[in-house]
Amino acid sequence: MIPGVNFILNRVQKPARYVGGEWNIVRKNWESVSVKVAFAFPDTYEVGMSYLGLQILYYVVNCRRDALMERVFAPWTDMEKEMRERRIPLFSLESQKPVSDFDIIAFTLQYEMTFTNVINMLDLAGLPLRTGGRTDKHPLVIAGGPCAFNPEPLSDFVDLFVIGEGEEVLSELLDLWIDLKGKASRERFLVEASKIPGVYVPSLYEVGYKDGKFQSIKPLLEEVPEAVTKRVASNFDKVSFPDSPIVPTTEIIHDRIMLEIARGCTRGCRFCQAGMIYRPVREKSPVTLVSQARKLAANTGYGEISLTSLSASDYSCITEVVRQLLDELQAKKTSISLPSLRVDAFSIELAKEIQRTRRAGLTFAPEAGTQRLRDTINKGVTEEDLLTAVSAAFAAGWSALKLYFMIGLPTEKMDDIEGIVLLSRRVLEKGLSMGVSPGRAKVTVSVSSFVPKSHTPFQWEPQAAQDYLFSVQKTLKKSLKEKSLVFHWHDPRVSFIEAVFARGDRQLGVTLEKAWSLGCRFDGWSECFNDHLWQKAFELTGINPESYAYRRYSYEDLLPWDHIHTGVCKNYLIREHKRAISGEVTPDCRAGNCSGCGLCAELVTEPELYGGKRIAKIQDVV
Amino acid sequence: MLYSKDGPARFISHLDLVRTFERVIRRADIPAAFSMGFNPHSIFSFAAPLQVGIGGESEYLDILLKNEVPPEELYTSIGSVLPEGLCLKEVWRAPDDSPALMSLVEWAEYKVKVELEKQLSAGGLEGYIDSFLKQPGIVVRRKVKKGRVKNVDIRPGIYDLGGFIKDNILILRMKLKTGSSGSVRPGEVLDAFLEHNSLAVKPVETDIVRTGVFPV
Repeated sequence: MIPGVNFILNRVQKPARYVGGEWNIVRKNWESVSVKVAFAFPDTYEVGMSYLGLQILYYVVNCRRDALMERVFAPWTDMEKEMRERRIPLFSLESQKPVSDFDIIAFTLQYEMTFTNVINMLDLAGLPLRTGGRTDKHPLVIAGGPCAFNPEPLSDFVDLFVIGEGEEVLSELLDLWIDLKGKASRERFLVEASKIPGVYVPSLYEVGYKDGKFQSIKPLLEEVPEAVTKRVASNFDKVSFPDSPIVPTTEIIHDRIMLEIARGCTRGCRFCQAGMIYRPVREKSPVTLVSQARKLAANTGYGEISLTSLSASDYSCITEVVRQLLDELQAKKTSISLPSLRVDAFSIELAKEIQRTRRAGLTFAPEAGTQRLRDTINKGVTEEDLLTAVSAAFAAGWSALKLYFMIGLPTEKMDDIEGIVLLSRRVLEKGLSMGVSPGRAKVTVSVSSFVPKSHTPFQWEPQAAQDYLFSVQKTLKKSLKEKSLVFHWHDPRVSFIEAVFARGDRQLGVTLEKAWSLGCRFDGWSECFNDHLWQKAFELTGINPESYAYRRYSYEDLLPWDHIHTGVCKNYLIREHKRAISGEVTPDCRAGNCSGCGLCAELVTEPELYGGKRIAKIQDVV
Repeated sequence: MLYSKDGPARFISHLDLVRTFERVIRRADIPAAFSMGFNPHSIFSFAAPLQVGIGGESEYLDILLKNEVPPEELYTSIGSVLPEGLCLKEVWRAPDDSPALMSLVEWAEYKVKVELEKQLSAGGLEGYIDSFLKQPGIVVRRKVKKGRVKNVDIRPGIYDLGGFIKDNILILRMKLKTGSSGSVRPGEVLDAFLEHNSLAVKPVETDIVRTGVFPV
């Protein structure tokens, strides 16, 4: 226990964020294990506890007798102030130990706008911020998650990145750590770790620049691999999955059971990083899911179970699984929800079957306003699909729908923006014509700005200029004036910073540290985001952010993340980019035809689907 | 049932405690009665909400069951699925015609422990308490909804105040009005008491525990 913690807990908002003690936590004897890991989530408790990956890795590590994992989240600004005033170090929830007492601090990087929180947490833990300043007595700082696929902006601060799914590689790292504990220096350990597939140690690579632009990256030692390929958990149906996850006592964002029914999505939306980096698509068997659901309901006491995946209605036997789960869970009065619905009538049928109330509303993501642009981004949705889906939803009793769009997409023109307005109106009119009362009918139009992400077909594309995004927002706001149309938008200034780091390189480390030292925290939270401080940080560090966000790369350029391999080959991304520009769609490989992304051959794997579906063998590997 | 709330569970807000017991009841797998409607939930009620950060030594909760279960069985099934800091002390069958717990509660007793900057004699403390209680009114500012602040006279709701002192540790016992017609909070009384007597406290934890809730 750390003195003074209880005192400050009585002075901050939501103290339950910092105390632990939830149902199903694991608290081990520190003397009985060989390696101690702190799982660090660089956002609030409510966000972090809603992340399934935390529960999975917590389970994987704590299943080992020789290891323990505890949790720590970013303290909210009021808590940070109290901690700094009283010199209370960042501490873990389970045993309230300083994070600096652990052997390994493991961050997950879900969103670029949490990067300043990573630095802040290292500082609150009392660690030297930069990897070079750390010695054998400091914990090892590791990081994984989607943003680790472009690790360079954080490479000054993180000793080692884990690329891809962590279930197996984390265990291999812990084995190595235990093996070399007390026998090898930090430097030696890092070299040995770099030989584990999926592990990237940035300090073992030298980066070359030309005129301030990224030019090359080379390993410093012969034994260090030139490129790091992501890890994929094999045999997904049998993958480690916690059937007794932690149940928070305070309300979190996704406050329900999360049952992962599938991983990966092969729809191939060209803006979507998740769709590229989580390939291949793998499903759990219905038998596994029903058995896991039963245990989860009994062990957590939650009254709701959410079937999670990137696209739940794409799961091969979804109807069968939903029916079995309804049978299984009815007696327990446990309800089922589907967070990610495809835009079609089938999905509405499914939602109708499981959702007892219509209060929650339904969300559809047409993403773009015209067919031309939807084809460009490979969002295989037609206006007819959308209108069929919304008709089914209105007919089933929903009156509030949400439509999700992006602006600033490559090749976007003014008629695509008008398309957003027309489509939204058409959806509203559909509801009204079907008898939804004008007082209750509501269509929320949520618009975010496109951010080009690494490892996607749009990775070469610039982000649209902020002035343009602001003017488009203004146009939309002016056009969507009907009382029943509610317009929501994201701050383009936040998307701009996100774009800088999403395709950033190692030179941004100084900017990040400067922004943190100027006071940037929780940049993804509108109440905390401070654009002025960010601009100042860029200025003071001599970095032109536009040269990152607005840069158009050519196919020949070496990209700052090219040494990180997702298994999807670059030629496929180039081909997809070209098809985007010419407006050609590429079908989902689920439908039976391999689209030649190269992943199955590269990673010696294949999609795992149920219900007898097979995907034609790859003919077209480039 | 009678339970205590301490440790990390002190920081569970009342609203979150409702959620927590909802899940406890599901985990305990007892024949709980559920409400009708689209979102069925188990039916239970607390005697009196407890403020975040305050411990509870004797807290009451009643749960409606579909059929009778021996209290010993309930003690085991509920007692084994509580999160850390919630501890089951007793379970018994309430008469079918018993009124809502909430409507019975009139006052609560609290034990408050603070560390003073300066030492204080026992006699001195008595004088301070007397002088504090002799005031015709004790007006505190209380935050109400939407960030507004209201002046409230808490003096009528302070039924008793006593205490003792050991070195510079001050322990106060308070009997305060609690229930559906309004409550006085122990923190308000403490702050008003310290302010009235110009006593300074050390910046360490103030420990407040509700030792019981009582009918008239």
